[in-house]
Amino acid sequence: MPLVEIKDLSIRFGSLHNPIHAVRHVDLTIERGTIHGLIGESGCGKTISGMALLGLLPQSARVSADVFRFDGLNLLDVAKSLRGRRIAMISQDPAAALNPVLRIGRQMDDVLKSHSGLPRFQRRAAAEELLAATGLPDPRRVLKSYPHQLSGGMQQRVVIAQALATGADFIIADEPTTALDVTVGAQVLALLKRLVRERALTVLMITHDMDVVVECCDSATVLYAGHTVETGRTSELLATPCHPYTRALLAALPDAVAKGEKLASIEGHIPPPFAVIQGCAFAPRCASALPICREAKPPQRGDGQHCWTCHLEPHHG
Amino acid sequence: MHLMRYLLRRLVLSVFVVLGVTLLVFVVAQVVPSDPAALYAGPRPTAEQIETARRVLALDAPLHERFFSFAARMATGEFGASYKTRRLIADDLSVFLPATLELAVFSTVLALLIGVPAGVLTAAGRGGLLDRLGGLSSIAAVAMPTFFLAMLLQAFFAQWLGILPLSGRLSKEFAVLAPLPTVTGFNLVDSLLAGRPAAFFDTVSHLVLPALTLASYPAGVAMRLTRSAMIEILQRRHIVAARALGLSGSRILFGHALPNAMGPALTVVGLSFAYALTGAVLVEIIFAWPGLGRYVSEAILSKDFPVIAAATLVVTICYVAMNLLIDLAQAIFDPRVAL
Repeated sequence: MPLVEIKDLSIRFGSLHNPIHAVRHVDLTIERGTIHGLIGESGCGKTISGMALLGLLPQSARVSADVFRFDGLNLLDVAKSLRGRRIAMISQDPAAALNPVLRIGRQMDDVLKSHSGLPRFQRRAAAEELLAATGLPDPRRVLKSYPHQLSGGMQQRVVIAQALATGADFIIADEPTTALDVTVGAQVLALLKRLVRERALTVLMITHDMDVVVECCDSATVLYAGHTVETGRTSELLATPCHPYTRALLAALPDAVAKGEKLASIEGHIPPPFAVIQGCAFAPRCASALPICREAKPPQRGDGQHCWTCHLEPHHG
Repeated sequence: MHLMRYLLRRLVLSVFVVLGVTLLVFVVAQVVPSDPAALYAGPRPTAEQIETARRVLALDAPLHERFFSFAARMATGEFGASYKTRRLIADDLSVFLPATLELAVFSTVLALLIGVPAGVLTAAGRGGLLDRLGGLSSIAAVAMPTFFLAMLLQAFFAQWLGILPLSGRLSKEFAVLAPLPTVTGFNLVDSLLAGRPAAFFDTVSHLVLPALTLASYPAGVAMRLTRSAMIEILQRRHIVAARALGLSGSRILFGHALPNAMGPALTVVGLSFAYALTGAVLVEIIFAWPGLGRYVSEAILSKDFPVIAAATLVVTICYVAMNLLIDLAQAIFDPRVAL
């Protein structure tokens, strides 16, 4: 049984007559002990899907799904109680994710106090241990520091240590490297990979950067305008991308372009969340779109491992 | 290290503030259309008596000499005697200043203890019943004239319920029959030092009503400011992150959001403390509180200049000290505040 199983998730804001679709049709399956990428450009519903897993959506959100399960539990019922116990989050900007006026020690201790049930002196030792596990040198000094006294990479390690402190086995990492230097970002990804291996964690890696998926994800789901368009193992996605959007994303990778050649980009914009989408959401930007793409919802193709939603036959165009 | 250097710098700056105030007080005294010699000589003085007074007060000396001797006397705490009562001003101040400080501190603490949690709770229940009730009471607290609130409180707690004294600073049995030894002048402290809990509780019961009256305005403002600061901070990412980490609601509100939201409330409460030092005249009169405000306003009405000068100086020093305390408190709550 996969750890996370989501089928036909939709998240809507606003009224029935003027709906704003943050997420339209997302399928997501995450196997235990893996890092699963959730990739797409801004506004495609990545972060909000993560928030739904945490049960942190605003009250005005209308969530519906055929299946929305975490470890066999229906998340539509229990999300609140899993938050911080089984599911934790690492957010984009570590400087913003840490409370600026509290010492790291206090912020670590608060998490441990909520979840571990350890007495005070043991919590202190546990905090030091967790910070050390994230590769921070001199954890004792870090505990005494305020967030602004640490570098971005150190802050992100503290945020990761906090996520570990909850004891959660599933971590949603929302663009954990976006706010960091490239080299520091690579270190953080390596750290996450190591922690997944050592602590039997499962990670949902939300990113807009195909490089991150290539770097550290075992499998990935590609989102476009609130739809899952393709999902599969990273190796399969790289070798045989079947959805035109996935192909376009891969073509936009700097490595895919020979020196001196122009970088590929995808013309046009993502449809706005209030738009009514008739056929395939990507059709207006798709180079190989057929007339049917604008009229009918694309069918799901592929097997359980690697699937995509497209009218075109695989490897067409 | 850092803190000591900061304190030193602030203290040096404070000296200049106090010097400036001394100069200002002196200048104002020269400009005011009244003759100190005539005042000093008493009611219906003869021309001869006024001349004598002029010599005693050295009013014929050149302006700068008079300023320097004035400043020197202020600096050494020799405030001299009141023109009107002939009592030593230092003696008067040693009674009135502690009474006022005690009331001001007590009411400031009350204002913080009421206003800040109320602001937190109304921000948490934003738009709900509690928020609307809180908004209403904070407007009432700010808008209510102090004398009216004072009388309402007296009618309710002293007259009707009879659980708190109507006015005064101490009951007769402690003030007259077995007076407290004066060590600090603060009855709260002196009663504890003397080991007399009954006197301590008597002091507190006398403090409650005037302190509540004085706290009403700053508590109302502190509540509004805390509420709006909290609403802004509750939307920050680190609060979302704290929620995602599964921290409890009250822990997030008071442990994580509130320390970020303390600044505005501290500032306004500090300012109202300074105001309460001399501005609480009505409250002091209604509650028969032997405070500085009443003392100074009487001196002002009779142009009793040495009293005004001494009180101004003392209040200035308290004010400067309070400002320093607020700045230090801000730095404690927010380590990013550069000292």
